[in-house]
Amino acid sequence: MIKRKQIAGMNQNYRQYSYDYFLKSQAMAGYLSVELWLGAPHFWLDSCSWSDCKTIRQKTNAVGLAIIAATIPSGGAFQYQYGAQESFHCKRSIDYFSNGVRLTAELGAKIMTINSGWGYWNEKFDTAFARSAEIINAVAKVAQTEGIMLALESLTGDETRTGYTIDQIKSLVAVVDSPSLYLMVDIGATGYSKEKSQQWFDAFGKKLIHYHFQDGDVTNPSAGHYVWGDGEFKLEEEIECLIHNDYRGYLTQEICGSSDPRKDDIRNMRVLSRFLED
Amino acid sequence: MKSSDELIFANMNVQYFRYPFSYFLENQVALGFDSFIFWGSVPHIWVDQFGYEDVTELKEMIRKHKLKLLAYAARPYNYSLFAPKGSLQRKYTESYYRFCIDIAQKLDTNQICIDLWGALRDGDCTVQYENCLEMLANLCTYAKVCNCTLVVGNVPYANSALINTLDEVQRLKKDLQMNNLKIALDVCTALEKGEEIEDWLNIFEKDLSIVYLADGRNTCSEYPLGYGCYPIAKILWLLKDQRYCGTVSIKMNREKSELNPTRTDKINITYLRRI
Repeated sequence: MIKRKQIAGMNQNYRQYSYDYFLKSQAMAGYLSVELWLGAPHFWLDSCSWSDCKTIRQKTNAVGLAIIAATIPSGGAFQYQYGAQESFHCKRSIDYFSNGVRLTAELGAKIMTINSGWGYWNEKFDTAFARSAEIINAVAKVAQTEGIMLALESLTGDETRTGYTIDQIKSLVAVVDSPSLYLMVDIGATGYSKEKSQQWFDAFGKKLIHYHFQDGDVTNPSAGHYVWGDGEFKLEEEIECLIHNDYRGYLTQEICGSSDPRKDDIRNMRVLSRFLED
Repeated sequence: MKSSDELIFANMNVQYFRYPFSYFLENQVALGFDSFIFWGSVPHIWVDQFGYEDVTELKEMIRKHKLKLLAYAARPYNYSLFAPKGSLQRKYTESYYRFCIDIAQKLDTNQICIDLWGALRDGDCTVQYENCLEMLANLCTYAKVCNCTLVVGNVPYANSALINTLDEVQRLKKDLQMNNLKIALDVCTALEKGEEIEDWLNIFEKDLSIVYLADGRNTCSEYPLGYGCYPIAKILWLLKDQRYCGTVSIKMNREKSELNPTRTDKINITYLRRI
């Protein structure tokens, strides 16, 4: 069985609400752990500074939630990404993600999730790949100093040309070659690439330390990040794979785009509870 | 681009997010556009609360392609005019938009579009509204000195709990009392709210400066023209009939169109030529 504390909520879905509303929702849904998405309005983080997180940490712990990981917003709605194409953007992104590592440490989390980022669609693979490796390498050095484990996830083939398959991720890990670099599965992204979780366990073994674990589509793989039961993924099969591989890490529910995130978190936990023990 | 007598159409670089800016410009020329609205975002430009990159090269690229920049649409990123007083988010939001006003001038446009995203659903509506009003007044004052105009309008509820309707935009305009504040109409948001486009035209008249046009469906919007369920042709005839003299900006959903932006542009151009 999977333990309840392994299931982590996430505030990314609560961007239209206050942090207090998020915390109350997590408690109502029965989460014991959270992965924090470190973006506004809940946090401020940039290439030079970050908001004081003592209050956030205290508030979170006070309602019985452990902060287990952090995701630094990148790409879609932010200036920064792990494959920033222009040199000026690249430098700012390195500073930003390095500050993300420091903020993660201040929050008391041990894991920071990262991805490959992306290059221009019409540039050479090697050029884009080398830039991602350079940025991740720089961030990994800060992570080593701060004692943070970077968990690298794949993206979908619609998001990047350089980090959406196991082989590409393996190459990136080999080039960066940092003791702080670990792996994670986002089952939406791996599902898009038609990869099974078992393939990731086979490829990375105990270096696989984290999951973004939510329902998704098989027939429309670019969508996803659903409440369990709203998509097409096979929950029981996924859980069996985790148990088979003696996975003890966290399973963050990276649900996105909810019109009512509180209601969705409660629904989600109800489905997952059938597979959990306290 | 003037396709049907009077209406001025301008494309945006939103869907070219995965490509260099030069690729966008080349395609606009090839497709017959002569003007555009610049979506101020990475990877095409870097702006944050600390400053912006040198825009000399960008300006030269636009000049070389003989395209006219009609407005600078500042990407909201994580900035919000509704942010609480005393917060870092608020402080940096104002700095960021001031830099956007500066950039617009350097790129030879005096129109800056601001998306009023970020009002929280569980926040105090009055306080958030006042916060927005105050910062917008500051930015309008800053813009006025350099003869610039700010353009704001209705935004989807998914992005903000306030300023979703015609009534809210009308109130904002009235409360602000700044003559360099112009209005943008997001057709998708208005139709989702069951509003009449004609009402927007009648209420704001010459102050309506930009109409963001896209097709849409019940669950999503910002589709290519003719790919949804919106009466696009009817709306365009209405704009023409009412002698709308602002810009019709074709604004696509980034994620839906970014993998093949030229295909999306061609669909839109074909649609416009057909009607």
